[in-house]
Amino acid sequence: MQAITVGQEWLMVQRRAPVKTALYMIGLLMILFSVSLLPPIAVAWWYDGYQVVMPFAEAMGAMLALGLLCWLPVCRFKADLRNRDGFVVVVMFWFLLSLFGSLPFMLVEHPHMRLVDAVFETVSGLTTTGATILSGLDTLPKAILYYRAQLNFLGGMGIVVLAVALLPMLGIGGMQLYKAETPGPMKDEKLTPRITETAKNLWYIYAGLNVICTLSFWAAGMNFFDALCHSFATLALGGFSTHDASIGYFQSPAIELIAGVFSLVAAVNFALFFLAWRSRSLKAVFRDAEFKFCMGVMGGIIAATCLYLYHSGKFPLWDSIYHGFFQAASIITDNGLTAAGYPADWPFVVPLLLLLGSFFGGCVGSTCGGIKAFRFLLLFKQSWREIQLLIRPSAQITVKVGNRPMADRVMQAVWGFYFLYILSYCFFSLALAATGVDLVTAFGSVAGCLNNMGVGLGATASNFAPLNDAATWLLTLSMLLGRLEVFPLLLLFVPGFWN
Amino acid sequence: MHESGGWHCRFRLPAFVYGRGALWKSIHLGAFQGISIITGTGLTTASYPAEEHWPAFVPLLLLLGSFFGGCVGSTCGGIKAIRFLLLYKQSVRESRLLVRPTAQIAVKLGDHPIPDRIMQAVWGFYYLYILCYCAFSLALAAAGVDLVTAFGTTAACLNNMGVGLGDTAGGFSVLNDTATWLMSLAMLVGRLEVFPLLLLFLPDFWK
Repeated sequence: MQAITVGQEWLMVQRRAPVKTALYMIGLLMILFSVSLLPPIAVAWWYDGYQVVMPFAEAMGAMLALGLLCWLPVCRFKADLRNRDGFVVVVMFWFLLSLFGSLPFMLVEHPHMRLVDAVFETVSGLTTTGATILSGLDTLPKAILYYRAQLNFLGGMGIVVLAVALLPMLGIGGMQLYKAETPGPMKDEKLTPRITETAKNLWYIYAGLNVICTLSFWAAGMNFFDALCHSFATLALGGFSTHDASIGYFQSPAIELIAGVFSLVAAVNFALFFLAWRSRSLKAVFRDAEFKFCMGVMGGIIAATCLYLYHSGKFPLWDSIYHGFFQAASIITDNGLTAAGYPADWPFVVPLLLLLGSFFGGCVGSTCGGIKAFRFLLLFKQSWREIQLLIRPSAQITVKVGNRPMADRVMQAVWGFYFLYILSYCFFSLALAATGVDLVTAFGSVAGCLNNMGVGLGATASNFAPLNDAATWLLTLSMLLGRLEVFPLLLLFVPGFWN
Repeated sequence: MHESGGWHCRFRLPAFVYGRGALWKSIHLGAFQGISIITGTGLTTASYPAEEHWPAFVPLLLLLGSFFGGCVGSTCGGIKAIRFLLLYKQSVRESRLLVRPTAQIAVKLGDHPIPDRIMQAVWGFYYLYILCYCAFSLALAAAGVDLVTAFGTTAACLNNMGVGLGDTAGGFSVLNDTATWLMSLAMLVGRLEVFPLLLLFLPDFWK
């Protein structure tokens, strides 16, 4: 009897140990992600030789060491993850991985970046932003180019979601982590009863699409290395290219069309693909209210872009169509691959339209950035309802999506997010202007980073290197804020959070 | 609805022009210009917002500030303080609910809980206002106005503030006719708070 009581007390004490929980989770995640440096090491060994292999190996060693240091002292510890701990773990892990993931950029002789630039590049990769500080990409070691693409790939579906899929031992707290990282207002919706299964299925679909995309690029004339890297960049809606001219390097309508189509595919809710695959029909996809709304808006913006390009005489008809389609699809979905000298050489209404479009993003549960179509759909319906209530103040009107009435809770969460997102945008633009950046560059760069889109405007149109250090740090933060959808980061600063 | 008057006193902007002149000058110019722009008055001094005389940060800060406006029931433009207060409180509430999903937290103003109806109206307005801002900026850019001017001019007109940026910093005569018509409309939309104008285009309204 006595022993059991003591045992239970011991367990209860253990359960209330948020620091241990955090160490345990973060240690495991770091160990897991140190393994992700093996493929770049292989690429370095194949293409670049010993002097590039070593820095990657050192970075891997550092991550592994930190992981073991966190995990070993608490490795026999088992605990529930509460709501709050989930947010702490996810935010801390994103910060740590951003820091340690930047090691290869600093250690490899060429590019040999400074800390601030390397962290920016890493965060840009993991958040699938695709904003880059590097130039002369064509001359960099292949391993660095591959590593950037792989950062896109890992960040696309979410690094924590990947961990939940791979590590069954995260099972108990997996749902909390998943909710803290996955974008979108309907986080409680699961594909399968078990969160590990859900995460696994999402990753299967994601990896499968990558295979198809790689093969398509390869067939369209890229070499295999470029095809793989651009497929990673496209389906993650990341936007890291292996060439300075991005997709424009290939000068190929076929490649632009493929990239455009796969950008749109990656902006669809992956849960819909799962349903379609299980029922062997695309009906589920085309019936979805968010999908219809999303494709409607995107179709409109793409059509407007193509028309304007043709009308303004920038390109002849066929060029207007494929450049317009690719570029609009790439920017609205927050991919950020570019062609034909976008945005510097284009009539500036188009970059402005697409910049505003990049706030739209794509469907919830896809790899896109921005505010997401579902939220806009709800905002739009709510405003419509307000207008009708002005005419008939006593009418009872509920906001419905598809045929389901939306719970007030969901609506409020969407409003709160929208307000904070716009506020963050204004705040970062102001902060950037305060560091001495001009207005157009400030607005464009913040939109590029907060929406995880990756293409700036003005001075940062082709490259983020011209920015000063303070601005670079600010933009790094804004990318994380956009990727984690504001709340998880903000939560840590709410006074009630730590009690 | 806004008895708790204490909430509405606004922070005066620090005089960021400090460094461009003596301290006292920074304070009196900064205070005047800050108040004039945020409240939507639009009187200017010391060549505001010309680039040679004011660092770019100040016009941007005040331009964003002009969305704030002032209290409901005053003569100011913009989105109004009470709406921002409610938006802010709702966002804090959301953050709390993320940590404790089952908690019951009401949005209060002073000691009065705010009914959901009012909150929804505020959200709807905020959304449409931002949407109008984007639409007018885009339309202005399509009319051939450059980016900074488009953003600045739309903010000036929609918020009924009256001081542009870029080309319109000194006056609005440089705009082409399309842009001028658009801005006339923007001023009306801003002054009538969006909904009344929008209503007229609703088929149901005329039945």
